[in-house]
Amino acid sequence: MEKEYAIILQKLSKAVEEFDVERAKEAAIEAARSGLDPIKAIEEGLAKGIRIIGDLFEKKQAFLPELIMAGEAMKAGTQVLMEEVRKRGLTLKKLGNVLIGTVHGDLHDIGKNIVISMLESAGFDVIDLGVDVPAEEFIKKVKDVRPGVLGMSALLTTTAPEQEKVVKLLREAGLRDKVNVIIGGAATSERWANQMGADAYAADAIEAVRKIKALLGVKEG
Amino acid sequence: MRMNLLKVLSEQEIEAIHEQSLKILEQTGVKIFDRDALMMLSDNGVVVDFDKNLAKFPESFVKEALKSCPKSFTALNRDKENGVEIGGDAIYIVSGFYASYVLKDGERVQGTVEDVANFAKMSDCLTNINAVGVEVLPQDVPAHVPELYACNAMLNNTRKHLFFSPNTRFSAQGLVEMIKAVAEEEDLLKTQIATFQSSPTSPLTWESESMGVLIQSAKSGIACNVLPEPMAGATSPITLAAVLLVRNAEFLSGLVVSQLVRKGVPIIYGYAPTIFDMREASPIIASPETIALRVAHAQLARFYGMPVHCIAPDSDAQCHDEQMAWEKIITFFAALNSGANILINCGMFSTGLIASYEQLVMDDEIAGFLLRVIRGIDVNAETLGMDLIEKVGPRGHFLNQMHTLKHIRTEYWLPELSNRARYDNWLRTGGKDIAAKAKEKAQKYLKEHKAPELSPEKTRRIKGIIEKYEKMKH
Repeated sequence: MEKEYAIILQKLSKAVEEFDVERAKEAAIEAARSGLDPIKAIEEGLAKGIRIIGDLFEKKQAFLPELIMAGEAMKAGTQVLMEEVRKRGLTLKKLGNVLIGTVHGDLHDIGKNIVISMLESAGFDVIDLGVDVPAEEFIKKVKDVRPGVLGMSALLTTTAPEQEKVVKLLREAGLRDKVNVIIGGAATSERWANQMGADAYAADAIEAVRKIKALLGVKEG
Repeated sequence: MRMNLLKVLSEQEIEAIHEQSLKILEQTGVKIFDRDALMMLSDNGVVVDFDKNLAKFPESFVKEALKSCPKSFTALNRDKENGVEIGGDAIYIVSGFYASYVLKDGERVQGTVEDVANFAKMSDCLTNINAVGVEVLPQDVPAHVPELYACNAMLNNTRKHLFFSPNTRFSAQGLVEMIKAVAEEEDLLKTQIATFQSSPTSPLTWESESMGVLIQSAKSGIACNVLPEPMAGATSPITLAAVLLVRNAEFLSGLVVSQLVRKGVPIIYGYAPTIFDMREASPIIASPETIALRVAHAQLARFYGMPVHCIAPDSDAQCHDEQMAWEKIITFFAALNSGANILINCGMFSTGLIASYEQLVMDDEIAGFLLRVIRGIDVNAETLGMDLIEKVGPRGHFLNQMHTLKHIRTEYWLPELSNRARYDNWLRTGGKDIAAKAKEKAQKYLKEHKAPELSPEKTRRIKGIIEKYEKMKH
């Protein structure tokens, strides 16, 4: 049995490494039928594939579309396996929850969506507020959801000040020390993050995952 | 489609240069300081004045030579593999050629055999470099055999085709013996594992040694790049049309000699465009005029239907600075996109006097960049992606499409060296300029690349030949 499980885990990982949504689904169905622990299938099968592509991306040996499509394959496989998780009455321990959105006045979301895809692949729960999110909406959601991390994207230099506004409102609402704030987007930088009072800045999706893990004290790997 | 080839001459202008070249050969003639060559020319019916060492070539000789000279030839490596047909649309990029110095730690120092070996080893692993020249003439060996030592170093460090410009007929003889020993062929006509180069002295003169090299290569069947380099205003009239004219007449004289020595031996239409800077009193090879000359030269070669060589990428700058970059790129682009088949000078600057390891790496990078530029744009159903645009629709994105993955590695050039990182990431990885990065890369190549050494049997043979020539009084 162990040998059979090992083969299925390998199939799950390979399907993600080769960006194959269909094969990821098929392998997930096979995993569910075989009796393999679905949580193990996600963490040691699908997620392993993502880690491999992520490492290659960091070494400049894989391309962004490959990273995204690996994420999509992972998501497809995870959906199948999550049914099995529920059926068995198990709970998949999430690494944390992240609230994310593009700030008011800014409609750009490709970068933000890539970050979401990477975070989900890594095992985070993500609540996406979409684009053009007013500062007040961020505050309301932080109150309701109590996320571990709030992520804000701004692509335009004209909208970056919105990020600062959200931090200010968080402070006024007494929420600033209850949530980690991370920012990203072309208009932002490490320096801007320090200046406007965020906890971290990430230049790309891979770095976002790494920094969010660090903020929440999640161990790498 | 591929980018259109550059042009600076009209059909009539090309015709005019050709016609006037024939007149120069017939009326003015060419001085040849080589008794054997003059005898041979005279025996074949060329008008020779032995007292003046002057040969005058009737038009019929040029026509015959143009007919018998092949339109292309196959360049092979030392193991008689990786054949590339040189001629037509072929592009064959060669590392640098006969620098006097090597740049080390910011200073120019004399080249050594070890440098030749290292440059060959690096060229062996650079993907856009197709063939290897003597990057620097070694100064740490007996003065009559530097090229034989260089040849040995190259044979033991690269499996790419080799280029030599023998300084003397003695050197040419030694090289021919070495090449024959490695190719294991007596006649090299059908087994071109190395190419030679020989230059007349402008205006309209062949010195004894250059003529000797040309004859030696023709006899042994080795392809020869005949490379005139008249300097505008000094060794040719100052006008660019006249530079082309003098160059062409000199070339045709070499072509005729080669074809009389051996019909069908491959000759390359070669050129090192050079002007003479009248303020510095020195030759210059990367001025705007030389760019126009490079383009005109390739047009003339196409008119004759011959394999064409042009020097590139070149620079007259003395250090790795912006002047170097713009001169390298424009000379390289002009040569590549005018249709030159053989481009020699990667790794060199300082008007060809200095070579550096980092420059060789940078020139390889520029080559990759420019080869992508001239490749142009393919337009067909697959590349138009009509179905895909329909599928993704407005407000979507293409980062998660198989079509994107399918074309990512073929549609785009991927830099090995150029910075594309954002400011923060660039800083994090050291914030280095391109020459510093290239130097590191060069050191990495030298450390990690395994030299493809010759078999012990061939090594023994080669060593024997070098020893023999070293003992000979020259």
